Amino acid sequence: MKQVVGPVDLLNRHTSVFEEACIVHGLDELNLDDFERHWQPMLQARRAEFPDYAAACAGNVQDWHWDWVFESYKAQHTLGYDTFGIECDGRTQALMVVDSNQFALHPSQQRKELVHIARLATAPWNRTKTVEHPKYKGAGRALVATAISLSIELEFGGRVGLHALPQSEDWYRRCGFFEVPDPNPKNTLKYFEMTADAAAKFLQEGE
Amino acid sequence: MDRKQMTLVLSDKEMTLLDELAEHRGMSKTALVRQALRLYQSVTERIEGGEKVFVERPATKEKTELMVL
Repeated sequence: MKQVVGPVDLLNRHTSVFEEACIVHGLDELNLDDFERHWQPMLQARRAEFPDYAAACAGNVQDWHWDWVFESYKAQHTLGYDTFGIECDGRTQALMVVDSNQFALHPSQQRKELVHIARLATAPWNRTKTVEHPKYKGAGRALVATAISLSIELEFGGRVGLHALPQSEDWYRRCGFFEVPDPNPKNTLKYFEMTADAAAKFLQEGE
Repeated sequence: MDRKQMTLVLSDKEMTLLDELAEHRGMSKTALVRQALRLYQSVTERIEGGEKVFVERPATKEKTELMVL
């Protein structure tokens, strides 16, 4: 069942005005309908402009195959697997799924529980490189803050980890994530972690 | 997050273990029980889905399969 977590302001880059958005926990028909009817056609159309998966990085659409309907179904049936969304202007502006059954690798917090951001994506119309004039800014940062808040609520101290798509690596570094070697050779994406201290700093900067 | 309350009756030995684990993990007993529930479901689902869960001794590479009955 979808529940409202709280409000957040997103910058409308078209008008340069902040608009109030809503963070939700759990996705419903509105969010999944937005994904299927509005996100997917844009992502697939942009993806078709590139010859392969690696090249799609230039269009910021390497997540074109992510299935948010499946993620929502899984979250409804699995403890520790949670979906979040941001709604603004009647549309779903960003989506995230987290897994709280993971453990840290960073030397300062090795083997401690953390919230792993399994997937995080903003709507295609909010992305640079995907559209010429992206609309809302701030949704990704708000969802990282949501993952940190969940980590604090679960008494994980704000620890968060994720595997970043290549085009997002620098953005996560700017958020305060540290790159940590991933011992699993099957993971081709780089692994990043936010320590409890970095998480506190991130939340403080957002206030 | 919606919450429900329950009373959990534990033996002295179980309570001591819960206290020790919570202290060791730096969590409250409630948070520890909730985390244990998440992990138990995760392991159970993997095994029921046909996967195997192992623990390995790094020194000898000896693997022991984790069984959930």
